[in-house]
Amino acid sequence: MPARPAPPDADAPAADAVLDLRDVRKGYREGDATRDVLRGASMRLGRGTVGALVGRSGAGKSTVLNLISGIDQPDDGAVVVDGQHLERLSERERTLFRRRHIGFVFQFYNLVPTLTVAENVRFLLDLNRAPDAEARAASLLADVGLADRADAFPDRLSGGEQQRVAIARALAHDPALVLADEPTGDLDARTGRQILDLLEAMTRERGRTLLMVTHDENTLDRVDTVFRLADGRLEREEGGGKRQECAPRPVAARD
Amino acid sequence: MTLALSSRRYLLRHPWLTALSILGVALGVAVSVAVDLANGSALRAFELSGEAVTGRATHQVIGGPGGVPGALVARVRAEGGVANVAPVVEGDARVARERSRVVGVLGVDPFEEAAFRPFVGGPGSGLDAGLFLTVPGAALVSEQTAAELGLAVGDTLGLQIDGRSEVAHVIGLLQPGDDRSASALQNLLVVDVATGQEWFGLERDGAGRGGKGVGGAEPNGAGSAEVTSANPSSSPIPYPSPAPAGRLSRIDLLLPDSAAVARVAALLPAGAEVRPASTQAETLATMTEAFRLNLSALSLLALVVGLFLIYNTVTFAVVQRRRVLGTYRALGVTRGEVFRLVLVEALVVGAVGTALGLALGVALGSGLVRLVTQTIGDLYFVVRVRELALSPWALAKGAVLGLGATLVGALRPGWEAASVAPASALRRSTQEDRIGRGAGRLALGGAAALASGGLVLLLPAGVVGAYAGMLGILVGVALLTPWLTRVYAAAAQPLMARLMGPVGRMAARGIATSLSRTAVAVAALTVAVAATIGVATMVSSFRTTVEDWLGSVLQSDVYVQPPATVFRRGGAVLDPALARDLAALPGVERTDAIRIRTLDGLVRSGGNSGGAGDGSSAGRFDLVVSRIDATRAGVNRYKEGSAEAFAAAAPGGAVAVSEPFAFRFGVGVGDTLRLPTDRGPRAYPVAAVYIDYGNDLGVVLMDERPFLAAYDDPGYAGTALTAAPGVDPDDLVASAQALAEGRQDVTVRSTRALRQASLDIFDQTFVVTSVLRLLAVGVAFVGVLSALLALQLERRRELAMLRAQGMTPGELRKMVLAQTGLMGLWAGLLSVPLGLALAAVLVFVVNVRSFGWTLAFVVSPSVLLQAVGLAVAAALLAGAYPAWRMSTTSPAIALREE
Repeated sequence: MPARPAPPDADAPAADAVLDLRDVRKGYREGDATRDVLRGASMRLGRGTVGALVGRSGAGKSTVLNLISGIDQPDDGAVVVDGQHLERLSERERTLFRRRHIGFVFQFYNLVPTLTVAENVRFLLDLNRAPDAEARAASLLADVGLADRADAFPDRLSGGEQQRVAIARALAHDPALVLADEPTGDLDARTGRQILDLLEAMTRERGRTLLMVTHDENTLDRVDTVFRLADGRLEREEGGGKRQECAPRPVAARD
Repeated sequence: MTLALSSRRYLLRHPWLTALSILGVALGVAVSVAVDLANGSALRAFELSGEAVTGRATHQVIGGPGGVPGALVARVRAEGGVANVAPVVEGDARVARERSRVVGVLGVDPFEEAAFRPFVGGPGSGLDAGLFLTVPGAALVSEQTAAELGLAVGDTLGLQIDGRSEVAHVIGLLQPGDDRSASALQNLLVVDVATGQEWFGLERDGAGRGGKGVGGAEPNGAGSAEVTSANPSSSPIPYPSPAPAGRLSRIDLLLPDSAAVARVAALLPAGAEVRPASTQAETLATMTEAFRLNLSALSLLALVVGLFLIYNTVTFAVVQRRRVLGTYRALGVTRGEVFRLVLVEALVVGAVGTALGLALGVALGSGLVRLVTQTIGDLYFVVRVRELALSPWALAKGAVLGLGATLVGALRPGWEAASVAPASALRRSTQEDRIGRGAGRLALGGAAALASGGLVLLLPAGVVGAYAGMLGILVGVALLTPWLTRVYAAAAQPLMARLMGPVGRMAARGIATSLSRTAVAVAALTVAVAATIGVATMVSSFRTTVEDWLGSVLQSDVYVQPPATVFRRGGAVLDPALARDLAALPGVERTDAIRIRTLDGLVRSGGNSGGAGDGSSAGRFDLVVSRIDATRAGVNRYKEGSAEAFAAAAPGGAVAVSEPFAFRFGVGVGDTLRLPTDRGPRAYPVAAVYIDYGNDLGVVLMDERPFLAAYDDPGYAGTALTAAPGVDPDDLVASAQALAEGRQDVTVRSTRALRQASLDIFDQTFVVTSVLRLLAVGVAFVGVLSALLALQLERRRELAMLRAQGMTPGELRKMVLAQTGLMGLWAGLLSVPLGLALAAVLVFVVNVRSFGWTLAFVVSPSVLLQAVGLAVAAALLAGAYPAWRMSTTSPAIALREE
């Protein structure tokens, strides 16, 4: 496995916080005007916990995910993931950080159509030059119940099956943080529940932290913490899920 | 690596697109390599042709215009103290039973050859000197040539030399030791020097009919002095032959140092000089430089179109996989990795295409080299060697061009791929928005490229500058295309809506909404079609100008000339008695007989044009001699000076020069030419510059009185008869033919027939151009096919959605075809002004800078219509497959495949 980042510096978050957003501001230029999407948003998520990010369409949920994954940069504030200040890294460093420490599950699966199921799962392991890629991919595929589809191409799989492959891919490189962007948005209710069960179980079993964007209020019953995005700020609520381990005292979004 | 695996599968899953882009690269490379190889082979052929006849000589003595006196051989040997001295007679002959085949004739002294051309007289050459010197017409040919002509030792070969029949007896086969010598000996007959002199009329001192030499051993008039036997078999040949009598094309020498060169130079009579042997091939190469440059430019054009193709293919691969690339980026693949991925993919396609292109280029080149040497042979001089020389340099250049073009073509798409937003941030429309906004900026860049292209054309930067300017214009229009296409699509929408309803409106709107792809396809098609318009218009302008010029120049009714072995080289001489009798035919009102001498070397002195003041330059050109009076002078059109002024000054020694001559040597009215004559250099003032499209090397027109005062009479090269009023020219043709019958093999032609013959030669010159134009069209067609195919296949999901929502297969087909047809029409329309601009550059800049010709600009509506038709047809054909495929595929499958 790739090395963990250097120990947190002086202003680092609590030792077990995997995700720490501090007073983040982000705006986009639209013509001559600037639209502020985030106006001092803060959130903290401890190791091994499951969080949900909710908000109306256009509230800025994707912006939050982009900042956490290092795809985008904040105008102001700090984005600390697993002890690393992403806003201090170059674009390339952020990309490499993402490759090693973050797993992604998308709404529309986004499997690579020209790679087989097994190759999709080991994609990041290969990029990271992990030595046991093949065995790990096989083991993860068995965990998501698709060991027999390893050599199939994604277009032969149902939506639910594709999302399972995506979950296996997101966890393959043992990331500290898994981000899921409406992972059940493209699935029927039953399949959606199965996928959520699998995602939650696999991240909790492995002691990973999960943050998912969702519109489904039912989902909130199973998460530990809910972050509600409105007017560019994040409000923290207790989720209905059982806590698997002790979390730090959540910090409410500043107002 | 997984990324590479994914790329490989992508290419293999789209076999048609991959194959088309490989084919595009391959064709671009092939055309360029083929032209390079053909040009290189032609150059090598000059070298080899020269090498066989030059042998190991370090220097050559070449004569004044009439050739070198044979007696000089003995003087050089005795007084110059030169050990190795070889007399040479050189000329061309046509094979009697295979009239299209021209062979070189090399007349040598076998006893001197060992040092110069060991394959003739060296140890082991197997030459039977006794037979060689005693059998009439004894000749040696190479084994290869003998096999091609079906000859064996002991056979005879009938030849036509300047309208007379001669017979060669094959007494032995030359067995060259290596391939290079074998190539050099192709189509070469080696005969005794006396046989050569007899065949080419050089057996008398100062007399001759038409041997050739570097110095222009042109026909010589009746002279006096020593007469050797016309029959070599009865001529006692002493050994070592101290000096051949008569005249020679040249004398080959092995000179050890510059002192020896100086000693030989001191012995030479006026008009003769000693030159390094390498000069000959260089002269030949320079003569055909402009011709070869034009070919290279055409091949580059094919490559530019190929570049578009590659760009389009790579862009398509990027655009189609934007979602996957976005996923890569979101998962943690760096920009550099994505950029490299796209570049490597393109290079793989480029490498396969280049390899294929090299093979194709070699095959194409061997066909082209025949056309090129044929054209050069028809226009300039006989090229005996016609095989393809595989130059590693040409192949390497082709490989670099192919891979380089691929790399350049892939840079922008690669950059675009690297800057694709990671999947979660991806909005499909943003990409098109960006390109839509960029169209304006690109158009500004295009305008700048157009302006700088125009500026470069105004600079006196030679032919290379002209092509650079042309490239600027091409790039400018290509960059303007996206913006223009958007305007066009917007304008076409209401019209299409009225014609075809909502389907038509969607077809037009689709062009604007997929601008990043449609504009590239339109630009590629525009450039390709414009190239065909440009070249076709240039050729038709040229042809019309020449036709028009022939109409004004061919004022006489009947033209009589001995058949020439090579179009541009006279050499053959009309029997003087026949010329006299022709002039005396009843019904002949006027006779204009001409003499032609090819001169090499010119000194320009004094003058008020050309700018550089006194200067000298040298090169080969023709001196055409006729009796100049007001009528004769009035036949020509003048660029400088006038017919009256020339007619008045000509008897006093003033000359008129042709437009290419004035351009080539930088002379004009008021300048004085110092020309080499048989009596040493003499000065001739230039009285006029006249229009002439018959000779791109330049002509000096001189009255016969001053000519005969300075030159030995070479005899008439031809004569033109003007019928008296009331005499039917056809009757005159018949009586001239009857008069010549049995006396000399001559061609008697009416004005109409001569004009046709001249135009046939013109058309033959442009066969190579037409072939290359067709190839460029081929490349363009493949390009458009792949661009439109890619575009329509990319829209599968969109089209499937339309089908799912209730569009019938017929409506879908209509929409796809309407869209590609609209794009083809637009490309066709855009190509008209661009093509005419290219034609204008070719006609007014390239031709002027290459040859000094002023041409009329003639636009043929049929060429323009054909071009637009070609564009629409190519586009419709390219749309046909996707239209059929989309209308027959179940929308469910198409949606699922995405």
